[in-house]
Amino acid sequence: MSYISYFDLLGTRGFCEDHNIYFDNMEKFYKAIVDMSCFLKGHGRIGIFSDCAYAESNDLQCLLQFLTELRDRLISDGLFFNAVVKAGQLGVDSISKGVKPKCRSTEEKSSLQEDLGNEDKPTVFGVKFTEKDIAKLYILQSNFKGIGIYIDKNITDKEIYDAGYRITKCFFMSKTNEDGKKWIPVEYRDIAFNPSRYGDKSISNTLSIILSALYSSYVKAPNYGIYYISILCNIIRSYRTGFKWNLSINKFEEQPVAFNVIFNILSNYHQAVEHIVGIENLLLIMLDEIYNCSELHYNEKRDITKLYVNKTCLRTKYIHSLNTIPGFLFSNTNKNNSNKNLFIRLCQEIFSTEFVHNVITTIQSSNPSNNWREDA
Amino acid sequence: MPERKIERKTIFLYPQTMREDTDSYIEISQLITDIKTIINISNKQIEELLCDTCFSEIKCMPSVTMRCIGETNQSFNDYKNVRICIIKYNEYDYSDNYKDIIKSYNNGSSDISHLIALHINQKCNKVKFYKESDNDFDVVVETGLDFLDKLLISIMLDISIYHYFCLSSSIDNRKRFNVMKYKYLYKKYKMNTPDNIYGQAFSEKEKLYLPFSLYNVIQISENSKNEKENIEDLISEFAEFLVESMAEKVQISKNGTVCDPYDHKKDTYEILEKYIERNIDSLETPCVIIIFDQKATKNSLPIVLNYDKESNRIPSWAEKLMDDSNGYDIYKLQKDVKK
Repeated sequence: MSYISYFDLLGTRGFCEDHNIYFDNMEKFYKAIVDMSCFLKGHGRIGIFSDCAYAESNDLQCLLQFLTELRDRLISDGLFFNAVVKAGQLGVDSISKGVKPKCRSTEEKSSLQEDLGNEDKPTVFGVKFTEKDIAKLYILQSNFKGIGIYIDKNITDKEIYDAGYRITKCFFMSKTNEDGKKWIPVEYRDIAFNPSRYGDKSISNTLSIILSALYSSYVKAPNYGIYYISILCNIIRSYRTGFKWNLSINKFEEQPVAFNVIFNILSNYHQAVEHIVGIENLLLIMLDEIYNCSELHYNEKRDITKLYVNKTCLRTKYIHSLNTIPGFLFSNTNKNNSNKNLFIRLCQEIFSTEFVHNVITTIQSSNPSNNWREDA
Repeated sequence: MPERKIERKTIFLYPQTMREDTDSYIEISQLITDIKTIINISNKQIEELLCDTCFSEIKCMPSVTMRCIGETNQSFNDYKNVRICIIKYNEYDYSDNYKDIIKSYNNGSSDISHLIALHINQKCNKVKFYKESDNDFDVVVETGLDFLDKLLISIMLDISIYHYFCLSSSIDNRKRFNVMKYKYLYKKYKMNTPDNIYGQAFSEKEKLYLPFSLYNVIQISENSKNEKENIEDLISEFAEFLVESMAEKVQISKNGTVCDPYDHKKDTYEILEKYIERNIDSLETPCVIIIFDQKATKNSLPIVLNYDKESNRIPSWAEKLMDDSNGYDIYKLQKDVKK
């Protein structure tokens, strides 16, 4: 069995505006690939061309280790890639063709050979692929509008698990095929970050780098910021333990750093990021993880949901259209036991209680003699 | 006046690991990734600290770049800017990697006034500065990854504040300055006991590089005071340090003559004498007078700054200078009560 990957560096066109930045970033990219190539442990190889690379390995564990270590190393340098992985073969064939010039004299021949190349300096050099899988790989990568490692359907969850990695169910935003104008979330599988490697401070540092790059890109154009949604989703799904809710003050005593940061952005700085289409869906991903947390009780989950759905970005998007929320944003897609159903139920409870409370309060304040009672 | 900005790049070297030993390669590779992340963040934080706080002008923007020792890449032969080297990571020892760097440093090819060896110990949750007799580094710093950003920021802040006060860029001056700094810090933090921020007891005679701003950087990270106040304190303390360490003591009589004058080589001494003569009636001592060398100032005339009376003395001191020639002299005046 063989596995193949294609990945490219994000934002290269932007680097080109300053050739020094372009050169530095390419150097970092190449060095990172070369340094991390040892993780293939002799079970594969990598081909680099400009700002992209192909990798092939007969060992999925090695290939994933190479990609995850590369991902982390690039982030540390403030760089990001989007990669796809599928089972298949590249069929790599190298090209190296020199052209012998037809010349009248020995001097002309010697001079032309120097300019045009001979067999030691080929006129044409490169790589071609002989297997069909390369076409599917290329299409997958072109359609993946996010940062991360996209795992194709032809690799099963079990294969990933057996390789020692965890799948995270993530999403990226893409334009629909119908009119090319509407953005919709598209689900995909990514590889989790390793939570045991990082303490809170390290995760904060990584998040700072990502958010800095996100905003820097977003300032140029809203669509550039959209690419970062997938990696933020993956971070939420990767660092998802350590919740403690204080019922009396309606606040978290403890929560994962990523949740705290992203919730803060979407609560207090939403206007700064409001044109990043789909970013509010990160709140739903966070709620999904909260619902999966066995340490939290139903009442706590309800209160947390109330805190989240009252955020403007979520409320304006989904109130009166909860049924349109894509099911894949939540776990347990079994209809009888779905986090999406739990979310809808809690929203119904929260908003109807709020509505009745507001109505009663209005009536009581205008006519105090009426003994209207709110139902519990 | 055109903006003058010095760029001081610190090269941070990490070891080339043996690829045959895959387990250690994995560990070191992940360490390098973690350190690169910390450096990325530290560079951003120093930029914020310098731009958003109370420096009236950014004269020097320092930054840290990471490089692998033994890279064949032609772009790295920048031995002269190597300041930090990882010599140990937990039980792995990489001291042997840096012989050429040390040779270059010792023979004067380096532009760095202090070479720092870093021992990253994951079990260490504080920082410890010490000297090892069997290596030529100016200091060994042992710390964990959680403290590394504070160390880097304090090193860069020291560089920036040195240039903020327009002290001389000459390598000899910078080396002498480190010795002066050590003596001042030794006294300030009573470092003959281990209970100080540099992690252990020191002797007065040691010559060790210590970052001046470490205390303030720790305070900023602990949020015990806001950033602006911490930086204001740092700039004030640094100015006090310069006054205490560099000021020449001058005794003057009631009528303004200098007691025990001697054949002074400093250009500013004549200016001082004239200043005292003109202002003797209003001069209150003890006081500190800073005289800016005529060639070093933005004005055509030398500037005299009565340090104790200037209400906004720190910025005005640093603002008046136009280059890094250490173009000022500090005098501490005391009236002789007998004469």
